[in-house]
Amino acid sequence: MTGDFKLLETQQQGKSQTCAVCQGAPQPGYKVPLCQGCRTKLSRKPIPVLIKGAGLLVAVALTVALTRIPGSMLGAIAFERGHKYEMQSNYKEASAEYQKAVDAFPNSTLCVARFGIVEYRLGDFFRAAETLRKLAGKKADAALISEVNSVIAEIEGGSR
Amino acid sequence: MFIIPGFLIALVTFPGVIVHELAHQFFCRLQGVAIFKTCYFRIGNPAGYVTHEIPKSAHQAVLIGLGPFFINTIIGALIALPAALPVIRFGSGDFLDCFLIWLGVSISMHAIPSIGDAKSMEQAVSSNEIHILLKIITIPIALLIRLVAVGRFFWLDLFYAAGVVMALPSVLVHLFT
Repeated sequence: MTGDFKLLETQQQGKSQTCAVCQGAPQPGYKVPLCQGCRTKLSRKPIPVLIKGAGLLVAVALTVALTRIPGSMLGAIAFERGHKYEMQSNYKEASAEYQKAVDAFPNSTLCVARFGIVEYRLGDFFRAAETLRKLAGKKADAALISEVNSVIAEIEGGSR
Repeated sequence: MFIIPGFLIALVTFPGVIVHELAHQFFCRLQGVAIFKTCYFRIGNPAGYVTHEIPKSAHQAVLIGLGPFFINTIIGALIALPAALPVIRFGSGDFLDCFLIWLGVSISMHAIPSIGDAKSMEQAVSSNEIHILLKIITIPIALLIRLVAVGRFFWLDLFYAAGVVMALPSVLVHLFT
């Protein structure tokens, strides 16, 4: 550490004729007088094992994330496409896209609800009821709950 | 304004501090700039630092100063991307997703250059040995970085991380829809 401070002092003092570490010829253009070898050695300061370990954990997390990106992105894109088709009343295409979104995010209330609602709009009441039953006890925003409840009521009304 | 002590923020987001300092070190190594002292994480201000010699050229200074901005942003965005969609957009997600979001936010938050980074860049680009034309380009960059660094006091780093983690996935999904 003393050596580090000596180098810092040298940086503030200005030019010197010899390398601050080995007394060799310093490289021109730098404020700290260091020869090429010493500068390269100092620029390659070793990383402590603990920090290497932390870096490795981040690298593992990054690898895991990279393997999950395609599934996650395709699921989200399928949901948005499904929503677009649903808005156009193209329920067949919407159902196919929502199915992909449900496959990607099986625990998503929003994906499952929209899939069930579209199945109902397609006239597949049995599958719609089966899908929407999975939502029992799950939390969602008021508008979605109301929409799902009205679909369920219509299915139940139709089956009586 | 809501003020949380800096050391608590650094403690909660410590992976970001480590990645930030490793990025400085990486660019010093790449440019052959001598490193005197490194601290990857500590409870204090600053939470981490890399003490290096004044770079020979302005582009080296800008690269070393701005390197962590790009490295932290890219790594943070990639780590959080697959987790942000199920958790934020679809309200689902598991423990791993939450862990990835925390890691992504932590790393992205420390993308913003610190006051120390801004100062060392200003010092390097305002040197008399730098050509006037290069100064015209680099001094505004250094001043902008100083402004951004000051913005950390107003939670700019958190807003930036939120943007990287939440807005980027939505933008990508809308682009491909």
